[in-house]
Amino acid sequence: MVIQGHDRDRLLLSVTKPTRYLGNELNSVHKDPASVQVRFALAFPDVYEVAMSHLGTHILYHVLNSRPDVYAERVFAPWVDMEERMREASIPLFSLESWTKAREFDVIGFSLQYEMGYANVLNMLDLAGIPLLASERANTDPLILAGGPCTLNGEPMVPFFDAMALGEGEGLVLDLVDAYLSWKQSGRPGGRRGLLSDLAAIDGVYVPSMYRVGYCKDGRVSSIEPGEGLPRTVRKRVVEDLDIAPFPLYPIVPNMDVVHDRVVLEVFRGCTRGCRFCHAGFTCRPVRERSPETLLDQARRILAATGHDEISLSSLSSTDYSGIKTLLDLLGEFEAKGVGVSLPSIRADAFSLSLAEQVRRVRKSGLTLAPEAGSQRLRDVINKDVVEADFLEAVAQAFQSGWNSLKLYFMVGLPTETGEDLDAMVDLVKRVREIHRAQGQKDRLRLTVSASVFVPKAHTPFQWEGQIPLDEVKRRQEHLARRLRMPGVKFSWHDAEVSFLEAALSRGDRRVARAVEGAWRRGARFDAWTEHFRLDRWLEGFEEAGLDPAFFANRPRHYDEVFPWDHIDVGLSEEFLMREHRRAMEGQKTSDCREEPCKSCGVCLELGVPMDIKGGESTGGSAHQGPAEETP
Amino acid sequence: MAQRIRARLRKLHDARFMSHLDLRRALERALRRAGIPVALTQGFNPHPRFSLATALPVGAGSDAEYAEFFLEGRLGPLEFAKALSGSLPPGIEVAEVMEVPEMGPSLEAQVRAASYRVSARCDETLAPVALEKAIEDLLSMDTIPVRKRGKEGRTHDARPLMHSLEVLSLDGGEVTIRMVLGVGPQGTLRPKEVMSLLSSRLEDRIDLGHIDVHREDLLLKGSPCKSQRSFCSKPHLMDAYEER
Ligand code: SF4
Repeated sequence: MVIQGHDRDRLLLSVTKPTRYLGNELNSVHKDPASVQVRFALAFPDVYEVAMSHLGTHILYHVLNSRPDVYAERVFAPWVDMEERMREASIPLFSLESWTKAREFDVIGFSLQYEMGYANVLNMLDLAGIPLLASERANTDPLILAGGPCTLNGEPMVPFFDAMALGEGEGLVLDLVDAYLSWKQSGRPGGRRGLLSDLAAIDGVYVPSMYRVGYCKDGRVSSIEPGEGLPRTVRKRVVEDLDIAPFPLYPIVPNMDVVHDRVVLEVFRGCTRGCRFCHAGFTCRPVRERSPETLLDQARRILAATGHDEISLSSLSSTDYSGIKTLLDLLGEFEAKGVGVSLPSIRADAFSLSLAEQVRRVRKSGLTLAPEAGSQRLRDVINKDVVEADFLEAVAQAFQSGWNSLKLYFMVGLPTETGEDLDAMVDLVKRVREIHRAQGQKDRLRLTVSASVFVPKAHTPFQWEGQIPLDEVKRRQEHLARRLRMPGVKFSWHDAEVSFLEAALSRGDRRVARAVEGAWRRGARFDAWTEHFRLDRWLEGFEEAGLDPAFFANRPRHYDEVFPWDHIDVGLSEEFLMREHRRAMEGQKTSDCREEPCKSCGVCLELGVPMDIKGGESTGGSAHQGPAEETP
Repeated sequence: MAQRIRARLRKLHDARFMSHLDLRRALERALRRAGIPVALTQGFNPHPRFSLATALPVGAGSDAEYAEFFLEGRLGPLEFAKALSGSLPPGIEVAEVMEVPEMGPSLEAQVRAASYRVSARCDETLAPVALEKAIEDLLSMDTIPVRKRGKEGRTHDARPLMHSLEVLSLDGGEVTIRMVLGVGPQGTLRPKEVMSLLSSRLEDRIDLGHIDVHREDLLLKGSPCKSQRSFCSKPHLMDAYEER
């Protein structure tokens, strides 16, 4: 224990929300460290409430602790007040369950969910007393791993990690533990280097120090060379059958209010809608569903183990789940006990709306719809399958069913966006208000219009696009804010500076790591929290590293450019992404491969894992029986 | 037939750091896990019907967190205690359970006073006589104006809410005092406020930075005090209190 007794009490009483640090929640796992072979820290670079809302952390906690020879504990970023106390009193970063020093663990695995957590990773390593750079770590230092969506272009963070685990972690994390264990038990042959070569041999493990990157004079990447005996590309891992994949049936129940205080059922992974801006939509393929029966069984057990009163259906687009009707009927059994079901965000069509109405019998909740763009033209460019007439129809139906608060999600700065598209967004909002007025609804309309900023992401058809310059984003946001100033409408927009940084980091190469470190040294942390984010720290960090963030954020790329993530294989074929990019520029939609022939994105064949549709009333679809004819 | 059950709970160890709201939510979930047939509130967001007597500051332990549960159907108090005990998070325990008449004033309205054991660090030079003198002085005053919480410039009289103060120990730079203070609709006085009044009479020799509070018991209107610990060293004070 880093600290105990009275001193621990005093420390806890001197910070806000001490329950963040107790580690004694219901269903938390406590083992005798002497009885295990591997101590694994699941690290999340954000504060407790955010970390505990991350399903992946719960899954890995369950998977690892199911093994008697492994003890997995949680290590989260201490909030700023706690960090201050810890630094004053020289208390190193510790695990929640046993308050053990993080640096005493065998393995620390960080979850990289968003770029704005990068500075926190460095801060946590520093608080733990572990050298930031993998190259400077000694044999006695823990193995530092990363997983999560950001590892699919983790280059700006690679110098800080010994290895990265690509794709879904259930099987992968156990392979990593096994390799670590056999290295440890056979007397650590070859030291750290030896361990890394063992890890590099595992499917889905990327050891960055074993790949050499070359650069052109203008700063673009010229080549990525694997070390001897290593493959040119490292492919992400996927779970084949979600019905038999492990899932935590006794999840930890936080003692405090967390973002998602409810039972989370993961109904499926992947998405085939193919919205061209969407990182998850392209990198989480193929679609694999859980069957309604498995989900019902999980719901029963998790409710009994936690006592929650809400079930949330988690996936990228839950109303697309083929067994959704069956599932909602099955979950109806909990209604009498006051347990409600929530659908986080639904498609704007009549079918989805009827589902939303069904679940609302138990719990009144707001309705969230995401048209993403104002004009049909731009929606075709991004391949968002929303038709204005259907959308307005759904809105009208929603008002009729008594919803008076509505949230609409849009994006600003999408490729090819013009003033007309922005005007169309304003017009769409006006139409929504008119419908409400025309229906003569008694209750006042509460319309929240929320606009995020488009960030081009790796492994999507828009990876070749540049983000529009920061000033221009701000100009468009202000223009919208002015035009959307109308009664009953609340317009909120995403911080343009945060989005600019996100764009610079998400497609950065490994030289950007120096900028991350520079920003952290200047005090950057909790960048996802508006009150802590300051762009100037990052600009200075980039400057110190001799790099221009605009080079990564705003520059359009040619088709022949070597990307910093070219050696990371998510199963998509490059021709497919290029074709999608070209079709976007031509305003051509591409249909969903669940409903129409396969678009040969490559995933199902490449990964050897077919699309898996479990529910009864599937809308058909021909999956991946070979490439379909494309209309150019 | 419905039923109203009163429970005295303990809040110990790390559970002390749960806020009042955290405790409420933990109880809600425990009720559901235990499958106790608790009645639900009306409305769009139905919640289990139960109430908690009074809040404690975060960090304070307690042997006397009173809660009342409204059940649909009947369940013996013993059965209730067993079911709930098995479902509570670590650090929360059921101390006793009894059935109370279904009608009648709410639990919150019945709270009158609480007994606390309060410890703080103090100057090693603080002598027992000086401390006893300060307590005597305090108790001999007719009125003690203290600032009202959250209300700038307004004061209330702490004296009628200060029922007894008793030094339990003073040793090695740590002082422990048992205090019985008013709580509830008639007014609330907090242990920290009393410590601060004492400290100001002792040249600030008590460290107000970290005060350890443990609630030993809670007095409800018209209820005999059932815990083993004697609730108040001067029982007549409580009688006087009931009369007001
Ligand atoms: S529907 Fe579109 S935006 Fe949503 S997950 Fe699928 S591809 Fe992404």
